[in-house]
Amino acid sequence: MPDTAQFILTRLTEWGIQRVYGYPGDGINGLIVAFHEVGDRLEFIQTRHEEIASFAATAHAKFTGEVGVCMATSGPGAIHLLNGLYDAKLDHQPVVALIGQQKRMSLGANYQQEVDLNTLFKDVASEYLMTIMDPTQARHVIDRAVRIAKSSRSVTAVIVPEDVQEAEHSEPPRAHGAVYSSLGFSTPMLRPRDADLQRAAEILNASEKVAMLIGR
Amino acid sequence: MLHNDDLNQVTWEQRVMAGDSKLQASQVLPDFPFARYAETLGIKAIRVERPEEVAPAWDEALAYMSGPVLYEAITDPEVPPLPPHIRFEQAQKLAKALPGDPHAGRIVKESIKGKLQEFVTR
Repeated sequence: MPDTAQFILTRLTEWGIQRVYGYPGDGINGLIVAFHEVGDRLEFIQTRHEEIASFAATAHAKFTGEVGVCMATSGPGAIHLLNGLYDAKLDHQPVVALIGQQKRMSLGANYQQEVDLNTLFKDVASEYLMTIMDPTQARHVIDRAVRIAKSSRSVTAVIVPEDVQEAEHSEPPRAHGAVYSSLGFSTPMLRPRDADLQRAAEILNASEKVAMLIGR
Repeated sequence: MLHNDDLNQVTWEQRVMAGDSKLQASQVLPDFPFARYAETLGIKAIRVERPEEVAPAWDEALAYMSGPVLYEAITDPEVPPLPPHIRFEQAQKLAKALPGDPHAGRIVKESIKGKLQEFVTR
């Protein structure tokens, strides 16, 4: 049985993600060592600082059109991600942040590097922010984080306590309360209403020297 | 500054706590000439590359009275930071991590050397 970290990285590759930008630390070590298991399918790019990791993931999204993924350890590492994630949010780029957290048993003790990450990321990852508290949650949390990043063109964040990263993964039971999710997102095609298109055409046709200012 | 081109604390946590080998992509740091960089900032700096340079470099650093000194020591990332007492599960996890580790041979050699030194200096 793979551990939850291996499952998470494998799931990312199944979403077509080939690269993760990050900086290691012991709060994210479960996910870092899981790169051994996924091999060449997923590349870890070590940046000089977590802030560079989130900016790099944003640039990756801007230049490739793919989802950018960045990774940081608990506490200070997580805090460093914020600036780059706001770049993604305000420029409408799909970026997923994977963030380490202290072990579940130490939370609430002002433990080393314990930061209330759900509060810290509430604004920048307002579209989707979740802590994986149980290995069986990993599948739908990762699926939703990637899908919502794509569909909302914004930032999503997944927090994984260190002991959950290392815990054996299992699929949800066939039982009341279990959630199953699947891969894939197809970007919808947007088309203006006929009346709006007609109105725009009338303005253009009635004009002589046309300059267009597009945006909000 | 202990200069070993490795994020060494976390590398050893990967080996001893997680029982996994070092992930090169995340742990190796690009080489950087710290002493030379300090000099460009006007800070006195000494680079120590060999054991026999350690003591004279300390003499020189401690005798310098005009400001801070950067003491850059080139160190070996494969020397395990072994505590005096190793718990069984730590040794077990390290043993599990070694087969896939790119530096396994050196680690074994340096570990034995370190433990032998403990016995003879006791």
